[in-house]
Amino acid sequence: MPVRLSDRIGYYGAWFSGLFLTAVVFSIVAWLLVNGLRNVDWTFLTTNPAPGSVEIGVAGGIVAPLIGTLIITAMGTAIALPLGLATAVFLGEHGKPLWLKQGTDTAIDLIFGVPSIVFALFGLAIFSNPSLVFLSSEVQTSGMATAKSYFCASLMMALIALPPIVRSTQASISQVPNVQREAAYALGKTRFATIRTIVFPSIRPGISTGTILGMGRIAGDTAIVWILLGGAVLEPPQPGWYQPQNFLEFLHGTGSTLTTYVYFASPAGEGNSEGKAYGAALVLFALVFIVNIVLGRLGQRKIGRQ
Amino acid sequence: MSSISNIPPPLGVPRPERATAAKSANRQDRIFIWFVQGIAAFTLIVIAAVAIFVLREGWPSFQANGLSWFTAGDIPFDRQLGYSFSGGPDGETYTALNAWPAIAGTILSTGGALLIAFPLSVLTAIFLAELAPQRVADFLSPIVTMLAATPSVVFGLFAILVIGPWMTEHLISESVANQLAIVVPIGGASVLLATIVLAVMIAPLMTAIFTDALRSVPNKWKEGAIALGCDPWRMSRRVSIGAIRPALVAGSSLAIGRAVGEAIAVSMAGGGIAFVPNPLDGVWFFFEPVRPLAATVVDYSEGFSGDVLKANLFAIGVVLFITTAALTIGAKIASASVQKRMGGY
Repeated sequence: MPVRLSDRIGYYGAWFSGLFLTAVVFSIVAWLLVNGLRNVDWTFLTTNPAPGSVEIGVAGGIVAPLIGTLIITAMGTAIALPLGLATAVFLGEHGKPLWLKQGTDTAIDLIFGVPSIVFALFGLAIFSNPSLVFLSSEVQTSGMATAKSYFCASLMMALIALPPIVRSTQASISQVPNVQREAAYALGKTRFATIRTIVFPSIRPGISTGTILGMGRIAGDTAIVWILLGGAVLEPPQPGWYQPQNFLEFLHGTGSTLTTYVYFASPAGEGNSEGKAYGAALVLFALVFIVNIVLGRLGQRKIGRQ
Repeated sequence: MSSISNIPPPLGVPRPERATAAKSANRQDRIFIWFVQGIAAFTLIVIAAVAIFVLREGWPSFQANGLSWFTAGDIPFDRQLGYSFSGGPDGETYTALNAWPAIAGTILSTGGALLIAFPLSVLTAIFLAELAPQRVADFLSPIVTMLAATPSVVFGLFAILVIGPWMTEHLISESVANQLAIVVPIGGASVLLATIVLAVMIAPLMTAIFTDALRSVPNKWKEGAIALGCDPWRMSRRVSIGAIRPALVAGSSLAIGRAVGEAIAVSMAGGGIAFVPNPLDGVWFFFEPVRPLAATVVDYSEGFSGDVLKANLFAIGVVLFITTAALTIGAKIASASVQKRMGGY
């Protein structure tokens, strides 16, 4: 036990801070569970949002935003993963020329540091170009593209998921002992074959960790969705959108995700329906939590098996 | 070409077919390296394109206003943005913009959040890395990570539905609110609430970085302090904190960047009016509304069809980009010096 008063204050301060942050987490989780569970039921999860009958408000459920979150997360991750792996392999295995290595390194840091609202603006600037109209749809009056579609949003989401994937993969690449690589070269394996058969299997946990972090960033982002997918919270997708012939058209259209739904239904948005916001926030939190905890465990178990 | 493509030739006399195999392997490797180099170059191009395109769209706003873009104006910021969308009082094209209220909102909320979160994070990091029993630390670390992974909109919702109404009810007297209402409506959604939300958002980020840094302080240094009779707290304060000073800078810069760029949670918690809280109002200063730069972009996102407003919003994007990019580079330089410091041991 520290003797001096200043030491004692610091010592207890550190204990207090640690327990305080824990208390913040637990109170947010408890608050979400209590208020969310009251509003989540089977109908809430399986019906589309709709305008409320009285006043302004939101009625119905969250099936469209939920699907939106899943689609955006899947598409964003699918684009980011190959890019991130290639970048990480370049940084960790090759790294030449030096200027490209340093430049890429800084670029990844910048993509991590620059806020998603700036990427949303960037997406708006490029995707509204008429020559990129195939990514969204055309504005009838001006001939510009709307820049609002699942494609546009996913492409920008891939950017914000890139840094965690690259960094996590790169870190585990640097853990692979050089002896293993050299043994492979000595057997006459090419660089590519070495990476594929020697390096890749042992960095899989690192890749999955990075991917999970990236997915969490995508699912939790609001700004990109709000600007590049639109705030079409109350417009449910056309019936039969999931059929193959309609799906492409669906991806070209506007939509919503759980984050924009929560924002819209909160007192800050136009929907102003607390209960719906609670319910959707709980579902969103549960999704991120499950992805982080469950998939995180699975990724770690893979290490154990090897 | 690089050393990778120089695969050692197989032992013995290379037979013709062997040589061709090596050659095609060489080609495979070369294509592979070109591919990863190309992708790496692509990330560079993307970040350059972000800077160029956002600046190009926002340039007209800077051009029309010059340095007065960053100053306070006579006409409220929100009204200026409204004019820039639908035309000025006489229906003319309205290009003037004085963004100081939004800049002040960003500085106040971010600075306040750092003031709260920095000591909290340093103490929590010391707690997790040095003081807490191993089992407690193992239990708490993932919880801090979970706080970092929580979507910002959830924090915003918590603020606007729980803390905000509580502050309105218990901390704000109705008579003062009525008195101030002619100047600005005060309430729970305020600069204080925005600050609290940002503090809760950046604290886990900083805690994670600081804890990692504390754990990488060479054991010899710590053992030296213990041998001289320091207890763990004194050792952390005298030795570890000094050693991780660059990490403190790096983590704080990243956290400031996160706070500056946070749009949604602040748009929900800040009160939605671009007002510069007046310190002369005493304690009510904390309950006056703000709308920082990033939140402004989200709040006016319906107005991108108006050319002048669009340029104004992109100009805000330029300011956000430059600020966060500078903070990121600063963090990078600081963390490089951490490695140099600890690398010698």
